[in-house]
Amino acid sequence: MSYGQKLFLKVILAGEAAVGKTSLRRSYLGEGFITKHLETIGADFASLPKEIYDYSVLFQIWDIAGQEIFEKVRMMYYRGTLGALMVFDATKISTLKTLDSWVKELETGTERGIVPFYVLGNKMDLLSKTKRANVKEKALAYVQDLNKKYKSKGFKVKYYETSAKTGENVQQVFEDLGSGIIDFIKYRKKQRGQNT
Amino acid sequence: MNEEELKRLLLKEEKVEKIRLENIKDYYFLIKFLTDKETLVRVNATKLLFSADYIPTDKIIEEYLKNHDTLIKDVIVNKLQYFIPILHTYLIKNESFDLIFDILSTLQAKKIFSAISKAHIVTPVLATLTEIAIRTCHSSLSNYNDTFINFHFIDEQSKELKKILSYRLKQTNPIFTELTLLTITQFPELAYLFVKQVREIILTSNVEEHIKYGSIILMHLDEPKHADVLVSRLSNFKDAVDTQLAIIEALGNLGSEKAIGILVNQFEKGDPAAYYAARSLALIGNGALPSLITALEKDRNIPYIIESMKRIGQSSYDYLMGALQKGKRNVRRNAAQCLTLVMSQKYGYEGAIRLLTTQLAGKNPSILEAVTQALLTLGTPSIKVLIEELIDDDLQLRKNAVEVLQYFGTNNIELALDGFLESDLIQGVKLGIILYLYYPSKELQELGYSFAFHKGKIRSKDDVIFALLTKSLKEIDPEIREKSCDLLSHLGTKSVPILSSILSDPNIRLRRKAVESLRKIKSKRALISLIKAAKDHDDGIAEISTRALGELQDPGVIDVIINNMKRSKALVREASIYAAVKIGSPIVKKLSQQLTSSNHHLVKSTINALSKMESKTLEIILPNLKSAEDKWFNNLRKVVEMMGKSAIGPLRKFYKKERNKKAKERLVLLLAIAQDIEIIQETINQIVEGNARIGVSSLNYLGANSVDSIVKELGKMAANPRKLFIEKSKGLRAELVVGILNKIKNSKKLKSINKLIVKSHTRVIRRYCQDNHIKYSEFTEEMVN
Repeated sequence: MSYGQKLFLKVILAGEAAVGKTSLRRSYLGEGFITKHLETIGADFASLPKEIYDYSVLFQIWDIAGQEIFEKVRMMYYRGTLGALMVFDATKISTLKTLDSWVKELETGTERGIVPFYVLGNKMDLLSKTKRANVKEKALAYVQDLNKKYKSKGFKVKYYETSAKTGENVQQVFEDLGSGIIDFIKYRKKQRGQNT
Repeated sequence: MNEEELKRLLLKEEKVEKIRLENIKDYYFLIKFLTDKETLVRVNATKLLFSADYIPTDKIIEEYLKNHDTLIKDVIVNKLQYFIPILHTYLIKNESFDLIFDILSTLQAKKIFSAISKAHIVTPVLATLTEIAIRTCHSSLSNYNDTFINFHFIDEQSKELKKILSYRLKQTNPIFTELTLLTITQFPELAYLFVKQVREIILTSNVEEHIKYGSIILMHLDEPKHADVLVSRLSNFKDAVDTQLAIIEALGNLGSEKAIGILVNQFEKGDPAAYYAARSLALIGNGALPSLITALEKDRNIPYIIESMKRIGQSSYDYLMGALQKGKRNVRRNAAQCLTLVMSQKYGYEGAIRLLTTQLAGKNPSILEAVTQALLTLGTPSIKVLIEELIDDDLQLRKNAVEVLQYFGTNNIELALDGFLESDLIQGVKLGIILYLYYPSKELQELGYSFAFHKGKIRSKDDVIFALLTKSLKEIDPEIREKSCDLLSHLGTKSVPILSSILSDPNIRLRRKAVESLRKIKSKRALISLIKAAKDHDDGIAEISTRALGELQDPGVIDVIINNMKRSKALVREASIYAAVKIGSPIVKKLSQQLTSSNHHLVKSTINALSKMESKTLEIILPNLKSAEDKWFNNLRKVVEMMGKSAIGPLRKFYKKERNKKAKERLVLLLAIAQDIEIIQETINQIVEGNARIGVSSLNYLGANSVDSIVKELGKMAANPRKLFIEKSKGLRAELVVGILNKIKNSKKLKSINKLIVKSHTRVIRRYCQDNHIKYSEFTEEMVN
């Protein structure tokens, strides 16, 4: 069995339909990887072994893209989630506002409360410089509010500008989320009064 | 009446309705006047025509069809309700359709239906036939909600309806076919009249809407045999997604098993076709299950397979179980995952995982591998269920759960438990305790403990935890039982009854643990049980329970404690001493009576206990001094000796008050034993007054430290009593005598009495010299001169 003793880091790609969640996952993992390793169990699901700090982890990336019609079962996919990438379409700023409900879904669905998550403004390749600055301003204000809300939870919400097409920040955001989750785990351990 | 005459009347007559039409010729003239140059003629002609008993609507339409005159068209439009009963006949003829349709197409549905409604009052059947004739070509009316078409009408007028709709379906304009099909979908009873045509359309049409509506019509027929054309369409045409969805949906509703193959193939297309196919397969029902199971082989499209199976329900479970037991390796693995997700519909996510883990109870390695892999993929939620399986009655299940948890590893288990601390503390504590009690490795036991306890205190005392520990007390494994006993102590008094019940268990170690826990609880509710345990033949149990009884500080347990002071094992006696000290004053009186016991264990323990108590407890004992027998007093001396200087306070206090001579003498001795230097004068007095035994003993107890004080007292005394003291103090220890001699030899005032001391205490001085290899003569010479 290849899972042995690895730390499972289940992360979710969430956000409105067509914001580019699947493209981000594909950009991160590569097309070939999907056909080789994808094992679906109710949502598109891929696993990827990684070394983060001194942990040997198995990234379980759950992409609920296309699952919008499976609303009833969606909550099930959040179980055991340790991190999330909340994706909005930077060319459609209305999709940023909908992230509130996704964050809420994450908070209730994990059954462990809120877990580390980052906000991703995707499809940056389609924006002009001015538009990009405008989106960034709004996104950062939103992220600031989130950080106020979750300030004592052991993680910090960050904003990333991404493009699945050009690959901008894609690797970075997944790696950072992995580190963020490990830091969160360490913080929780400390909270429990144990030596890390 | 000729034409001119009629025209004249029309121009003149104010009330044209009064003009009497004599024959059919007059009507023709009137129709002709509908297009007259004179407006008044036209208006009155119209008025007269439509006020007569006979209205030649057919002739008017024919006139229009002949001349296409817009003035007649206006009349038709304005007086539409009168034309409605006959319009349907013109709408199914090639020579008239275009012109009539041209009139109707300019009108709104509301206006048309209003005219139909008015006509329906007089000629309901004809009006309704026209309604359907218009609906099938007028896009606005085709979607109009109000209608006169109903089941009875269709039943009674099927022949006429067939004529109208067949004509329409043959028309080359695809819009009319579309509207006709749409109309049939709106009135499903019509479908039976056009099966052949609809099937033909599905197989040949290039218009997406035709296929959509055709699919719906076949769906309404509810006859599986019609699935063949839909399957054929889906296989051979690349229709738009919406069209494919309609076909897929229809196939599901038809419930034909012939469609299963192509529906399963739709999974490859992804959403939304795959999702619709999943729903349709579910509508086909159990017949689809074998193909769905086969589809598991591909390692793809599992969400859709799950969606179908969820909708099919319970029978999916049987098929999945079959696949789990007999399928190929990857089928087994996928079946295990599906089983969980399919069953989650009925039992919830955890319930479904639990259902899956019940398969761990078997010994078939293939199933175990599949289930394990499925659980690992389902991730941390499985961990909770697996930990709970550790307390299942089925031992094989427990064993397998341990193995799967091993695959997960400590970090993942820790993560899963950590989640509970945030969201469901009781659950987290429960799982932690299960790990601590049941998991075989130390590492995980400690991990479990760390979740159940924080700084030595249990994180939750909920009834759930109590129930868990009560259950684990009944385990066969003595280690689990002992640990449970231990943990129960953290839940306080509610654990007392269950722990008390353990005191009659044949397992000594368990009884010990129970007693230890009862001790930790410190509840008087445990008193009776602890008294019983204090009499246990096992010394360990007796020891702990005796200590526990002491800590409860209840005077009711005095006899038990004193009784345990007689026991042969030192550890029980030590415990009794500890208990007695804890109880303190209430036990002192009874305990002091034991100083005369013939049981040496009891006497020794009593002395120890009393000596360890606060010195003021002596006040309870001291009144016995005047009457107590010597054995008692001698043992009390040991108590005071062990107490040391702390005994001085109460002794002195009592000494001041005491008037009884015997008691007073004994108190002098006790004070000396307690090293009270201030008692020296009294001891000297005792010797001088002839009670040398008490005085000398007292001075001997005081030892070398008292030399200075003795010499000081001698200096104050008159010659005679001083002499008397020296002579009667025989028996003083050498260190005292030599000390006095050494002190006095440098004193001019007292030096002379050294001779007398040497003379009176020769024996002890000689022994001192011998012991210290000093010449007696030289020593006495030095002291005296």
